Amino acid sequence: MTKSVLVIGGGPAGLSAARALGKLGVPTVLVEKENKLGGRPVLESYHTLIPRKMTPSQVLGPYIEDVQSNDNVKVMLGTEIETCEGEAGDFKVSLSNGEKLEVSAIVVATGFQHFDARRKGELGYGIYPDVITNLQLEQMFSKEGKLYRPSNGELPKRVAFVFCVGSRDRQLGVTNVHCCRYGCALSGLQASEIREKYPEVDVFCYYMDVRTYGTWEYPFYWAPQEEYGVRYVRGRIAEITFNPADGRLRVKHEDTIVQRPAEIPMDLVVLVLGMEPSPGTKKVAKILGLKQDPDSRFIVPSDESGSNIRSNKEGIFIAGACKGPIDIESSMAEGEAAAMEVLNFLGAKVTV
Amino acid sequence: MPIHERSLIESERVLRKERLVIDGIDVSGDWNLIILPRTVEDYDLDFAKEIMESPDGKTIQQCYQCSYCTASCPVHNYWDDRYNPRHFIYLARLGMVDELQKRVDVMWRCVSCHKCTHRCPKGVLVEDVLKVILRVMYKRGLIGDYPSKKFDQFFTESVLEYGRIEDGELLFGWMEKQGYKIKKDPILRKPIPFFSDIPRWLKDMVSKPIKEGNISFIMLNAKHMLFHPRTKEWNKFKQVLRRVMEEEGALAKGG
Amino acid sequence: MGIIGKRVAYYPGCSLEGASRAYDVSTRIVVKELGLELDYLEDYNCCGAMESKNVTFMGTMLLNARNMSLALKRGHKVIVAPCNGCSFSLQRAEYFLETDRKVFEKVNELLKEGDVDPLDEIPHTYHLLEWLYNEAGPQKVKERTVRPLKGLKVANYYGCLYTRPHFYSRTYAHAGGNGEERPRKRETADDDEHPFYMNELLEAAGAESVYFEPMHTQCCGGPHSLSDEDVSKKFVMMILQTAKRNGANIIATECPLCHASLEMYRYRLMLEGIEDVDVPAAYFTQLLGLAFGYSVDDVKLKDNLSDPIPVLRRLGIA
Ligand SMILES: Cc1cc2nc3c(=O)[nH]c(=O)nc-3n(C[C@H](O)[C@H](O)[C@H](O)COP(=O)(O)OP(=O)(O)OC[C@H]3O[C@@H](n4cnc5c(N)ncnc54)[C@H](O)[C@@H]3O)c2cc1C
Ligand code: SF4
Ligand code: SF4
Ligand code: SF4
Repeated sequence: MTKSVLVIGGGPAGLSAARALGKLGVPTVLVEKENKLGGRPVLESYHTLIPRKMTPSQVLGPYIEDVQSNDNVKVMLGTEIETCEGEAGDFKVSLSNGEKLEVSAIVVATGFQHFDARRKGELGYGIYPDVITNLQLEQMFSKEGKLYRPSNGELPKRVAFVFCVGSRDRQLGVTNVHCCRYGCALSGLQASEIREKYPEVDVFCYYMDVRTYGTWEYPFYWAPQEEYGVRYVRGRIAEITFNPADGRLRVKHEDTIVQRPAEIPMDLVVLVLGMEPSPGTKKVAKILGLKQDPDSRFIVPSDESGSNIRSNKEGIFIAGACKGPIDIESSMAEGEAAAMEVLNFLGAKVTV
Repeated sequence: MPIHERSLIESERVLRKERLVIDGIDVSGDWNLIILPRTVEDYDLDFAKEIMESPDGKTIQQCYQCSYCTASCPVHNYWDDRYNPRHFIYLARLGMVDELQKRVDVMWRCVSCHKCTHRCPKGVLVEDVLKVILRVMYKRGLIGDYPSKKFDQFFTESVLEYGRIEDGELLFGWMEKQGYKIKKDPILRKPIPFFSDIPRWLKDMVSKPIKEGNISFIMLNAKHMLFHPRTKEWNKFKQVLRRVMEEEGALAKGG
Repeated sequence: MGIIGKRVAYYPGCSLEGASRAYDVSTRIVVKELGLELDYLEDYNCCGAMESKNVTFMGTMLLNARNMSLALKRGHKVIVAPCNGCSFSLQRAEYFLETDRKVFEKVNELLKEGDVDPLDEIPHTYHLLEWLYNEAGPQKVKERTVRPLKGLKVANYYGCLYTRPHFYSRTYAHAGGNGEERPRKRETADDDEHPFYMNELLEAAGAESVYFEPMHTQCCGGPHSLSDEDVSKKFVMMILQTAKRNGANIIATECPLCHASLEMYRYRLMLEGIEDVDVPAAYFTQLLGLAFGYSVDDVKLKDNLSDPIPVLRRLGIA
């Protein structure tokens, strides 16, 4: 068995797949479009990760190191796939750097992209500087180590989190009806971090329902309220306006529990972004002929198999956020599961 | 006997009887106060079903109560917070008809701005659904002849008659329905604004073109008031239209 | 640009042939000047506006389907309507005809009974403003301008239904249920929350736009302007005061109903002594007409109850 396995995408899912394959002695090629491994958490400098409150380098650093130091794994950065011919066990792939590969199996782990908040015009993102995304908030923490209002550099007195921006939403068409899965929990963490560091800042979370499933309930829903005093208000923010008189934003909503209109002044508003399939995911799905959800365009597993890792094409496996919103731990587990499925598949070939 | 906090009891739940007999025993006197239970005892699901039967009402089942609609609604925000599209949808879908009836004084105030439908993240055609709720309530006699209902009916029947509407007729016809005395010429029975008992703003409005000698404007509008603009090929179509409206129960009650 | 078509069916609507003829007359002037063509939809009927739909679902479908049929008969796949209410009604009918097979079939059956040609396809309706912006655009307006609207500080009032709601106006055509059709973004559409087409056209003619959010798309009371005076009065007050306080000397409109409501309540509010409501209103086409060198009488400015002529005279525009 000399042919290698191709892993596309060097984020949490792809890294875990390549690492497992390499450790098991399977020759593996990992192609990553960007010039760095680690996927969105590393590329976009996330600050602290849910659920274990570790940094991206604590979680993904060891994986990156394992992959880079393993002789079985060849990492190709700044590279994408261009075409693919052949069939399971014998794929002929050409890459953007002109190289050609012959591989026996492929793991697709091309991930997601963040929702572009400009598409929700009523929320004023891109118009009012103090409306930011939760991704920008992560970067404020990780790169600048402080919380401030972009309009004047001062510490906000009040911060609002607006849940479900670009998720659970049919006004965007059929593409964004799914729930982002990480948003409620990450907001609980970010809100707690703000309260811990700046006890004088009041923080509000505006929600329809709070989805901190499984073991996330305590640390990211109860603790923010019980330990950090974050306030939760039930009502979806429908409009953000700016009041020139006091230079503050207004978050407009119905407080559904009080059943009254509310326009509350805020200094900083954080939009909790949804996830969409990355351009790479859509492109690779097309090149490889993978089945996509007709609405969201995420890649979906084959109908014939119970495994959610197998694609509709034999010899091609799918893991992580290219299949839909997911957290890092699950992405990593799926990457490892994909490695197992590859082995299973290669083994079956050998015995035939 | 439990002791009730008076402020927690809505007056419509308090019944006081002159004479009260329970199990053959006359308990009038201090015992003649009955407080009806507050518990919701059942849903009127037929009510919701009737709403969903109309093509413009069926999206009611998509609502997930996020309240984007209410938060965007100018009537809720700037007029009366008891006007609450999200809440109406909730009540209608479960068939809590008595709760809806408590709000009939505000339910018709929607100005059809469609902010709700535009923004609803679940694709509920909110404005349409609210109008269907009103339609069904009206049919069932749960709401009376509210002002906009009268206007809608007046307008629609004018369209049915002529195929077109005419601003003057609409304005003066409506003022007349509001109880203003509109003077009419004896032959054609058309309104003569200047001799009518109408509010000052309206008198001033109609006299502006005259004061300024805006002859062509006066001529055009006079012509329209005398000869109502009509669609020519209308009769056959009108019959079909009338029949459709009849089937929907959309023609004015009694007329 | 240029995806809608230079020559389209023109559905003026009842108002534009009556009290709002100024909008009709000025529209025709502007359209001619910009090298476009409107084909008058002979013998059309009322769209039912915001009223008939509350009374009868199928009746309202029929009213609009008849107009669509007339357009098809004249060889048009595109209808342009200058009124927010009319374009809304046609688009709403379009939506139900397209997404509900049963409604479509029933409507065609009834059209036949009424001696009207059934629809073999469904024409698309655009608002006049969107059509002008896409088919002519600010550049063309600039070229045609001979009398720049210098000093005119405009509050651009778009009203409710020019941008709303998505589903009817085909900006996103999907409302619910799985497996229904894909979303369709109407490429020519204005920004739905922050519309700017009118701003840009009038700016191209030399005017200045004042900040007018969020009142630019706030309801004027619309269909309730006669039946619910309290609400209408309050809404118009909010709109006018914002315009005035933000420095506007005129409000530009693009809908005969909004226009009438603004003018009528402006006067009533003034009689009651309410402050900061005296900004006059003019159709954006009237203002463009002036910029293209037409006279006050040409664009029928005397028809405007709120009398914008003094403001325009003072600035040397009229
Ligand atoms: C703001 C935000 C904060 C988050 N915080 C957390 C958190 O705290 N904890 C948590 O568990 N989850 C969090 N998540 C979710 C987390 O980011 C994802 O679960 C995770 O990144 C998914 O990993 P992945 O490898 O599947 O995809 P990605 O991280 O998207 O990685 C995909 C990789 O593939 C590469 N790629 C794409 N296309 C191609 C191509 N054609 N060819 C080659 N390479 C390609 C990309 O460059 C990228 O490196 C957060 C998400 C967001 C939006
Ligand atoms: S995880 Fe929370 S924020 Fe994200 S879409 Fe779901 S409910 Fe909304
Ligand atoms: S916006 Fe839509 S889903 Fe949300 S409460 Fe209103 S109708 Fe329901
Ligand atoms: S259409 Fe009616 S219910 Fe909807 S936002 Fe406007 S006023 Fe409110």
